[in-house]
Amino acid sequence: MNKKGEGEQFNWIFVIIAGGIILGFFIMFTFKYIELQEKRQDVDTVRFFGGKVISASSKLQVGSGGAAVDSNEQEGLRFGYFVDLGYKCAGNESTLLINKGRTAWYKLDDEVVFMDDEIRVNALDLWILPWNFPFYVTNFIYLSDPRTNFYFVKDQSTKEFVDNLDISSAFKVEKVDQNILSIKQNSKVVYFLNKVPLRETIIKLKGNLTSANFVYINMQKKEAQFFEDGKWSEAVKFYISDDNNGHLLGAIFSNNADNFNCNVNRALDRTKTIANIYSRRADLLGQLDRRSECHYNEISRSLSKYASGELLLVDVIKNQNLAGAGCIWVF
Amino acid sequence: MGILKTTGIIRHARKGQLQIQETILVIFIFIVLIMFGLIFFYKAQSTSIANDFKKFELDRVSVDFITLGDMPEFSCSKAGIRESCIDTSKLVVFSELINNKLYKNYYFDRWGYKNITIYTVYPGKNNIKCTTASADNCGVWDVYINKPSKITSKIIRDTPVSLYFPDKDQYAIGIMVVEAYNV
Repeated sequence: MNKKGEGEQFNWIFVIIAGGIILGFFIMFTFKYIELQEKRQDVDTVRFFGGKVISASSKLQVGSGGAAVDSNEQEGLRFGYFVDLGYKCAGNESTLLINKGRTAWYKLDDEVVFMDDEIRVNALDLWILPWNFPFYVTNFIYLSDPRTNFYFVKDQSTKEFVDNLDISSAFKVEKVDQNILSIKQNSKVVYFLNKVPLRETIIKLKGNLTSANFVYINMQKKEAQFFEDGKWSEAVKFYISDDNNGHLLGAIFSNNADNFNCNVNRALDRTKTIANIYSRRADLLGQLDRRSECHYNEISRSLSKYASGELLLVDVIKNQNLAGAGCIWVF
Repeated sequence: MGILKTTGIIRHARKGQLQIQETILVIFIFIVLIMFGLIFFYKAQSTSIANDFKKFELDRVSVDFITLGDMPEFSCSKAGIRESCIDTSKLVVFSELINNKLYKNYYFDRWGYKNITIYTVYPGKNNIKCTTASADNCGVWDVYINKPSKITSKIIRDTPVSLYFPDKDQYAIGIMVVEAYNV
């Protein structure tokens, strides 16, 4: 009788162990299956976002004011799920990372994207602006978390500039004086002041906020600095012309000095390549159209210098590209 | 009698032990089969996802070529405003610029092993290759030529394009042929 009882006990132990092992396998499989679905979702995200949105945006012909997509609108850019988007730019290569790039990423060719280095979003505000410097080079793509509030901090010397600075209405922007600045979570503060704000001022302003970024723009020197790891970064130079401030806007949408510097350099490298083509084109036009009043040689020389790095010639070249008396436009 | 009873008990016990061992074996094999099934499923799905991503990258290259004419290296522009056509003077310049090693490497990173050629088809065909010397009367542009020495397969795609001749201020229709090589 005791042995029968012991036999039954043994039976139960055996059932529990075997059942536990089988259950363990199924639980492990469940987690693995979730991981698989997340990977599949990453590939779908890169297919939609990288292949359709970014690629199409870089090739769209838009007016000088650009084109914006507000995530709140019906046609807004919404994923339907939260995704960790990252942006990495190093050397001459830049990549959009989906969930840290474990499964899927989108390597950018000529596209220039300005965004924070890491954001977790289920929707995005997008703004496409053509960058003409002075000829069309590429479309700049600005991306932002829809929850971000932009604060442009001005003083007496920069008041006029900041008040006239055009930002798409898709973004929430407040233009304030420094002494009345008060920020909340998901803030991007852009200082347009004569002096870079003190580190202690930023730390005090940031307080316990976990999502607040700070950018300083010096319009006289055309430099931008980013507050990273508790201090201001090295100044990054950018280039703007009279009617195109694409780089300046890029500084507003970036939060990382390395990425911003890399983007500026990629855009400028592309500009120099295209300038070289236009320079040779001007030479060819000079052979096909021999009228002396067209000055193709002059613009060709300027473009050649521009292609070798004399970027301050941008306005000179723009003025030289004036097709008169039936001459052919160089660009 | 007692011996018979004991023998019977022993036989039952052995039968019981055998049954238990049989059950353990069956369950063990069952677990192993499930384990193999789950591992196989996981590996197959992972491979399928990786292949999906590779296919996306290949498709991306195809799509990029359809929009080649929109690149500032080729697109028409007047007074800084882009038009939807390919400037033939840019094609001539580009096909000569690409011989420079620096630019060859730059575009190889983007396009890899490919041949891109454009032919005029309307209003008239012209089989003369375009160079700086023949730019005013030609109809074939070897835009990008990079064919590897060994090819495992190739894909050919073509698309109509609008061509603009700036010296004549005229438009024409052309075909852009792209041959993509796999090594």
